[in-house]
Amino acid sequence: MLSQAENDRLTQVGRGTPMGELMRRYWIPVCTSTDLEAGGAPRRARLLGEDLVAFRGDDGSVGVMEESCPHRGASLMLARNEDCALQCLYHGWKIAADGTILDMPAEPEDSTFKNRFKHLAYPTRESGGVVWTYMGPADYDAPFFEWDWTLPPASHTMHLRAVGHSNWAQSVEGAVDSSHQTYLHDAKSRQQRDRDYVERMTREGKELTDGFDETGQIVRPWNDGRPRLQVEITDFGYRYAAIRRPLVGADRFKNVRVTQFVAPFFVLVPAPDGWGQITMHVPIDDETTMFWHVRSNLREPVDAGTLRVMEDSAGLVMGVDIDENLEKKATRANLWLQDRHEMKHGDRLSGIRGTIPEDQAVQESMGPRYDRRKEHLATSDMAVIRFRRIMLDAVRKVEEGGRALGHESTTDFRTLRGEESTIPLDTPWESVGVPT
Amino acid sequence: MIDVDGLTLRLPEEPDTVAALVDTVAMQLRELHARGYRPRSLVVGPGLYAQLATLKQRELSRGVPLMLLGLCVVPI
Repeated sequence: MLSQAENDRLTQVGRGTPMGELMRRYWIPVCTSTDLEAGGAPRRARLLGEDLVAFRGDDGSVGVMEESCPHRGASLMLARNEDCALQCLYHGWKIAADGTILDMPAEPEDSTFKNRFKHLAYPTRESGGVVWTYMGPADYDAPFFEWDWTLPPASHTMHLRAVGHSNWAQSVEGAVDSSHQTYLHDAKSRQQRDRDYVERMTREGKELTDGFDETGQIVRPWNDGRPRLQVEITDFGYRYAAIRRPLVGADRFKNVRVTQFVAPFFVLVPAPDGWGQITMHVPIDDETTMFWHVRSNLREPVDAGTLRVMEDSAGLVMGVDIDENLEKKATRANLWLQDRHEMKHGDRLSGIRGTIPEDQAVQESMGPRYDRRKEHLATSDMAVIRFRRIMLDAVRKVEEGGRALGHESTTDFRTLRGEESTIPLDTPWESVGVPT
Repeated sequence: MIDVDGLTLRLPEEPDTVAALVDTVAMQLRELHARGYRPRSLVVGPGLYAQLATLKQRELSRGVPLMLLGLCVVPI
């Protein structure tokens, strides 16, 4: 539960809003590197309520700038991309990636107008196959985070995305809410896969943690719908553990699943051995979020078959589940294509295809920006409750002139991982998921 | 930090925001649950009670008790 004022402070991200000012102190994902072809079409990118275009010049460099031409507002999505600049289709104003106006061909030849102002453009970087931008104050020293998944070559990394039609905080709250796993995402086939996996791992004497089965799907050695949650505040956000009874050996062991929340919208969920992964919940505006799930094989390139299994399991197959604008075909209007027959007689308990549409269906069903005065939180919402408090505290700190949460962290984010392990009952959960 | 008779939870200091209140009560509840307590109510000062009652005005008008994290909120 939050007051209306607190809810607004948490959820509104436009320029000048408290959370919007905090968000603008971080580097933010814009699109994937492969979205932008050298000299090719610009790509629309709405971030924090601002309409932007991203493009890649002939030399490979990337620009991110306000979509609207500074002349009379025509969309630069229509612009020509040449000479590492966008040239507006309307009157030929030519704008470089840093916002410099290179040409106003309809103006008198001796005009100095173009030298006297710049278009709104933001600095960019590329890492992990992602284009990032910084939309904050020029005099703020914003560190750029590198992660384990940004280190391997692009061929090792898979990027899944989908537009969610609800506020970014609803999306993050889904990602730090371990207990919904057993309900929203349950399926008869999943339960069978988990049991088969546990039997095989036990037979082979291997550690009981997340893994892949022979079909390439993630399997888990637990089925406990009442996890005990523990949260430890860190200098970048928090890490929390969902502690469950494992499917075997519950009298001697506990399964500990540690998730890292890194402000403002990064969630590192446990990945199978040899993989790194992250979810990013990027505010498009107050009522829309770009959900990212990035998974990287830390040892070898990813093949097309692995990508296909991940897309299929997530329910984000291009042309089947989502369109070229990353919009889901399952929407509020069609009740997220929920299949009532399947719910009663089939496999998935939700009747909704794919884990991400399942997540986004419930988040969108809450309304585009949920009024948290109405809710009735419970003890299983511990991580959600802590997320709100530390983000509201972080907002206040920036308002008072302080640094953004995580920007004074001593943690090397490349060593930060979600981690799952099945450990003896008397071993502290804090031993799992410690940055190295 | 906490005065508990097994059924009633009191906070020695009341946080100044709802987010902080919910977080504080959640943390206290977790400790109490681990020790085997299952408190049923939360006692708060009249100012905080009024603030919470304003947030939940619609429910209160329907006769739903004022609750936080499953605890009935009662004024001192």
